[in-house]
Amino acid sequence: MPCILTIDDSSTIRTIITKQMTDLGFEVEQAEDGVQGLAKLEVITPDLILLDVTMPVMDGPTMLAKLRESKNTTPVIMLTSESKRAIVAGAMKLGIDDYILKPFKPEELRAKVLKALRVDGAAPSAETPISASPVAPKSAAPAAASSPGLQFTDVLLIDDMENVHKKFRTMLPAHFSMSACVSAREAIQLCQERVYRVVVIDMVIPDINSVALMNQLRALQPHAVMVALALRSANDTSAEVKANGFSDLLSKPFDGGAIDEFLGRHFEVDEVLVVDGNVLTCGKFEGKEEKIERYFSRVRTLARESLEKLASACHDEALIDLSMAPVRNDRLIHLVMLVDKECKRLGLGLRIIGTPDIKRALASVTDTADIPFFETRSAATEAA
Amino acid sequence: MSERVANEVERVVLARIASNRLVLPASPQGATKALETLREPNFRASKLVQDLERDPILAVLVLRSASSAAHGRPVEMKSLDQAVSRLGAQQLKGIIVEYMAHELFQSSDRRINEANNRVWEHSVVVGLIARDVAALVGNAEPDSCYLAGLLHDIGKPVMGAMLLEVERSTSRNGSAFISSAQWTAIVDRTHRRVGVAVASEWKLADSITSAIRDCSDYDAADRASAANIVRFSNALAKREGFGTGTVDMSDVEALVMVGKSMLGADETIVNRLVANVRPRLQQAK
Repeated sequence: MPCILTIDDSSTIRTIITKQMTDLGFEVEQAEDGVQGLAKLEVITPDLILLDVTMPVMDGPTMLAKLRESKNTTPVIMLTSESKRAIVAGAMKLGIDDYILKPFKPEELRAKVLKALRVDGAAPSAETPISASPVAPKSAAPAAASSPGLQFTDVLLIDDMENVHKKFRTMLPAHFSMSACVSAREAIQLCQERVYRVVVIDMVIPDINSVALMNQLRALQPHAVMVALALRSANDTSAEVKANGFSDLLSKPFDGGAIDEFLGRHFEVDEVLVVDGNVLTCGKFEGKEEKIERYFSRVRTLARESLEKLASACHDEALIDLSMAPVRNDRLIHLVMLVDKECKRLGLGLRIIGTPDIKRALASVTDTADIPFFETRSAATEAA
Repeated sequence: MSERVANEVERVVLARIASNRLVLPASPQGATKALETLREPNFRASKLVQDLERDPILAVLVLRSASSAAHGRPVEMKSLDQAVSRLGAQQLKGIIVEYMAHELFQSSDRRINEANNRVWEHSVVVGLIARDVAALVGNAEPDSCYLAGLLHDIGKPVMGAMLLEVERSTSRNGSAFISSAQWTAIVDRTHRRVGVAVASEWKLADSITSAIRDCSDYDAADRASAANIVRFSNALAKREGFGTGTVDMSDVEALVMVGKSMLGADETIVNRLVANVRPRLQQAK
């Protein structure tokens, strides 16, 4: 078990440190000043020293100098209310690993101790409130995604008009999570608490420089895509917003097609169509009924692209799993006809997987009746 | 001989500052007037437009700024009235102060101009970092912190101009009246007080004046103050290679280490803050 020596003339500070460190599973030894600290070091070999600066009898820097003179290289964190750079610079020359200013937050102490001890799990995100480091979306940085305490949200919308929030919410698929706020301060706070995949910033918010705000949020959300939101304009403004550091431009009033394109560009559309090897699986439809055509339109577009990729990868055959797709006969038939046509054009074989309802629907139309159909993926694979 | 001259120049400057008799370089008249108008509680936009029209460069700057995407959807501004109402008082103040500051960094002397350019570049970087740090640590005025960062070394070009004037009026045969080391030393010792005099002349917010005055050590009593943010940003800028003159890296590292704990910033976030500072500086130019 790692041992920590805390040297501080305040018994309150020593007690707080002892409590926090023992809670982390460390052993803690205490000393009231530099002389006592050096005496302790005669009998124990701590893994880390937490050292105050101003103490009676012998202060921290003097003790540190003696410690290093004796070739003792134990890591030291200076924990003090002293912030004069000359003193800290002097201590750095003698070899301190880190510095904590009193009064300190428990999470800062914890993170810096763990870092100094090089204990696994010393995630930077635990260090301090503003360093509650955002972690990446699943697709961007899987390792970071395990950091505790931060919630993933798909979209953050910053616009001073709440009606824009409402409208945007209705345009997103129901399963998308979204936060919205009207001010820069709220946006920063949200970005400290959550991890966003896309941040949409209105370009006209009173008293806010949207470009400056975007740069601030980028420090907190390095993996998020920053999108400018601007009124539709006759001029093409996308080049200008990109020159300002945004990755994309979204226009308002919102348009269903443009939102679909936007979602397609910035989100894994795994809910709509997942490609695994040569199997294309249609996802569930969870939106309102009036958005069903957008769903099928998106599937058709993605299916075309995916089939091209299967052909490029020299697959002989494509399996389309419609089991989760919404049963809307006309649209399903239209989709399968298109897929069949594309497969023929690309020289791919085609097998369909789906429910009995879908089988009946496809069997009722000449163009789709003869396409091999299976009720399970294993059956389709075995037949291949 | 030159040592005596250097001491005398410094003594005169400091005495003038102490007795409030320091004559600062003239600021562009239109900008000064516009700033005065903006300080009036219920200023008239038409009066402000008149002030801005006195200075064509400033007028163009305001129009360009209002047209840019940074202040909303890019729109071609057809008049100053339109630009003034689009930007609002706060942003206009920032633009005007930045313009006045930039003017102070202009010199007809090549050597001074080169030195000023380096200080200006450093100041812009400090301002950019300060604005982001301010927003992240909960300081309510990120834009004031930007200006505080931009102006923290404003005394340097002013002192440079003063020394140049003394040199021109005293030296014979174009020879330097003090050594360049003495020149630098005088600027280093006096520029904070001169900077405060400029801030006071321009009636800038107390937070900005304080950031110019107290740039050496942190104030633990007000952790997220503009002055602390500028100190931290100044150190980060120097660590990133945007320093001016000789930089004591151990001093800089100590300021960064203390600043991180003072403001609650870890190394990860610090790295992100400075990661894209170079392209942003290019953009700001």
